[in-house]
Amino acid sequence: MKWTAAAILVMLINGCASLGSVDRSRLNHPAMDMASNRVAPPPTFLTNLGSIQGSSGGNGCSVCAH
Amino acid sequence: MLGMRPLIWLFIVLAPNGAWGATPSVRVNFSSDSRNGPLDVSNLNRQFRLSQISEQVLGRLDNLGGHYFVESGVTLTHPDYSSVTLVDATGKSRLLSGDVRGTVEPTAEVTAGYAKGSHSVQVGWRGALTDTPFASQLLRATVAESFFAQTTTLGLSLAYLGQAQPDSFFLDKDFLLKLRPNRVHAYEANVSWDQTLTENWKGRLQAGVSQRVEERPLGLSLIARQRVALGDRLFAGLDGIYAEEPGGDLKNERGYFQQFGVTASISAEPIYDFLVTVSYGVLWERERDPRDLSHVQVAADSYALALAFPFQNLEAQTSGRYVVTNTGIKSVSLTGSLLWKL
Repeated sequence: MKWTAAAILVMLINGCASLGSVDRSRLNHPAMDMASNRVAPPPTFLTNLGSIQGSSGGNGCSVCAH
Repeated sequence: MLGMRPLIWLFIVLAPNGAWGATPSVRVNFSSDSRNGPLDVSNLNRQFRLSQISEQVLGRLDNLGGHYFVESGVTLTHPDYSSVTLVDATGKSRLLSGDVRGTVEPTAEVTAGYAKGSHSVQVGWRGALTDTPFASQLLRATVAESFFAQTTTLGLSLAYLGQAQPDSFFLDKDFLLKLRPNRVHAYEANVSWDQTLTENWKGRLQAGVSQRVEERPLGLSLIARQRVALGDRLFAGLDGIYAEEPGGDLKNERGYFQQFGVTASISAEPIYDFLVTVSYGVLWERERDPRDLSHVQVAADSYALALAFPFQNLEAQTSGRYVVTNTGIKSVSLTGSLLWKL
């Protein structure tokens, strides 16, 4: 089991390392950017999960159902 | 917006092109959000309508000393508190908008960072400049490290929030009036793994833990994102989110929250650098309360369109989003952004 896990790890590292030489012109395109949302995520209407700031929409109340 | 002019000029004077090899830029953002529909899912006849706009100016210096950047700015928010109800100690309710009317809430923020090779670090602060009903101070720190010629990136982000709240009471499950906390502390920690999978495909996995300590139980979240290049000028994205409060003490009248969402997007570049993105998403939100065995679900469909186009040393972005829920709430948001590389 340990040897299988080690082999998978070596294959994974080897696979990732081999990607270092790929053409990145498409990967670096702005449309492929993970960090920035071109469109903001939708607001939440029932819960305030996903934001410690409280619910969105100006009502400020993080535990109200609106 | 007029109040921001001195800030813009100050930035232009303090950030001459070439100072310490720095690359200055200014970004102006605008956003508006309006929504209407039933205020309370248990009483669909109680309607609300609100509209909020905000403007933001950010100045940024990149390549300071070769590897540092600093960004600061001010946001002016015109809040709409017409749907926020406050309850006094006798159980009588009133709207917060009756106490706060026609105000502009300024917020400042500063972020500084360092990036060299495969290492990057940034720290930031954002806080209210005036005493507003929900004034908050947020501290955030992010560290990221890349491996294997930057095909793998691991990140850690930590945030701490302190937020004021106006005095208000709520009716608990034993029909007793209790005071809500008028100061909330919150924290959030996320770890992320960005992975290049092929020359046309990359993905991100992000796991997080967060809590508004005085109000809510601990929350867990898992986000998965994928971006695929379908060609040189056509791209697709698929994002999924799952978040829940698995257990712990319920500290007010609300039950445990759960959320599941999927968003699919297509981006096309019909002419050089002009990017059009359309997206559709659906978000399910659930609340279950074991104290009274209640179970509520709200689902929302979200349709969005975004445009991005550079023009010489300017870069403009605009987006619109329409959201409608199964309970009849409709929301329209518009954003605009202009980046000026000085």
